[in-house]
Amino acid sequence: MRLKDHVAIVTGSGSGMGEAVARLFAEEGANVLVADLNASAAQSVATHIGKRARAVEVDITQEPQVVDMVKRAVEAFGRVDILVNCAGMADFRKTEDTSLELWRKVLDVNLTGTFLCCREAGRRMIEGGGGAIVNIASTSGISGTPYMAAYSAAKHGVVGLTRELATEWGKHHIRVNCICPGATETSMLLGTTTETYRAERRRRVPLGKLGQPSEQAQAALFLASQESSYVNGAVLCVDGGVFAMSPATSEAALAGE
Amino acid sequence: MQTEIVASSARLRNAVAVVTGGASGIGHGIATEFALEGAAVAILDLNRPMAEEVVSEIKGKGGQAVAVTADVTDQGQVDKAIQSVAGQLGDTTVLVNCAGLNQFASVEELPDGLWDKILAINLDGPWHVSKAVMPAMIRKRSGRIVNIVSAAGVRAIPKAVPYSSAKHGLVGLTRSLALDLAPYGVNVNCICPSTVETPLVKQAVNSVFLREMLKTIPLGRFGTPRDIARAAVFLCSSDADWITGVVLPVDGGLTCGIRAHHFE
Repeated sequence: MRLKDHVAIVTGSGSGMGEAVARLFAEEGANVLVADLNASAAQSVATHIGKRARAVEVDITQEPQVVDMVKRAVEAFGRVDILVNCAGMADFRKTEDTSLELWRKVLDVNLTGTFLCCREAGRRMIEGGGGAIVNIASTSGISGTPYMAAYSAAKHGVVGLTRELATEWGKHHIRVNCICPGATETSMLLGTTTETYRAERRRRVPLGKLGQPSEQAQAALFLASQESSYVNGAVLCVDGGVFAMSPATSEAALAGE
Repeated sequence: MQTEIVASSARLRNAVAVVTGGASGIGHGIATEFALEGAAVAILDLNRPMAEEVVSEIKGKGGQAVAVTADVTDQGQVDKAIQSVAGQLGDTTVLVNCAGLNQFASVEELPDGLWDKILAINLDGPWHVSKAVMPAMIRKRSGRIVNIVSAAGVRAIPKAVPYSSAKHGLVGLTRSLALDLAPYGVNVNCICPSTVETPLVKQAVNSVFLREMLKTIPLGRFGTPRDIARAAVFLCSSDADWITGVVLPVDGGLTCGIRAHHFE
């Protein structure tokens, strides 16, 4: 078991990648706080995991709720070793049609919420002598994605926060890394895109398929465990090779014509 | 949280792994870790006696290993060595390109031939070995290649124009091979270590240069061969099935920062 008796908080773990992370971490021996905006989804994941898990309802944009979430982890399991920030939201919209309200909401959830969770869990990790933080950013956090102005900006912010914290908290033995998932078949992707769009994306993935939540979870496990003991400030693409490829690559070239 | 992980079940079972430069330093660490994870390991190195020592060490722990000798700058020698591995262990399924060399020299006084020599070892070498193992991987529709680059492959270091150039080139080789081999299920990635605590570095650790350098690493220590080896295990295991063409720093946070000194 690769996370035996470690204590992990996983936000956004009521579904999708977060759920896959929570389940995998528990299988690897961790005690997991399943945190989600959707209380019943969190409860159902926690129930399925069993005695290693507790559920907590949290809106990560609300400071007192984040403070409370970390407190709950400490009460239940005694400390915090690992934080995986999976909670996030995406929205496709032309920038000229993006309201200030929506911009603020997307920034709030993806970036400010991640900051609050890092700060609160980080305080416990500093007291406890170390830890590991894994932020789920996005390939939109290292490249522009059309019709996702707020999301791209927020995810670039998550990458920036990751790198900054890696340099600031290294001395506390806290490693901070992020994953940039490519298009992964989560409920968020399935709910916000059409099959035509997904088929188009799939064609442009060098490895020829979209990602699975379990594949993102395996990368998170590596970054959360001692196997990555010297990995700090890394931006790890788990994207089937998309980011390595020039966007100018033509369909014809991809098809080998 | 400095507790040792509980060794997981062997994650590289059935792998035939060629580790170039496997007789010493990082390569040695990778060869022994891969063997622990169940891989049959071929140590491809210029230094035969040292490679044989690593083989004995691995066999002593119950692992499987052979030594093959080749100069990676010579395609003919590399081809022969890979054929010899195929005969002894089977087709190569995993390649780790670790053989490399740096020689510091100011650009104004670069010795004749140094550029060619450093490029040949650090860039032509990984290409030659990749070329030799590719046919079997393509035929089997699976394989893994991991190139050990360097922090100098993403940021320049002083007085090392040929080395920084070659290592930047190796990042390019990684990405372009990843793209062209993806249709065959062959994943190609690279790792960028910063200074690793080899015996040589340990001896010099009190030097002003190294003390200053340590201050630039957020985690406050140099890497170990095992730090690099475990990241390589991850990239070669099924856990990394959807990862290809990436540049993974294993450097304690060195290259994610910009300032020379992170500590007050």
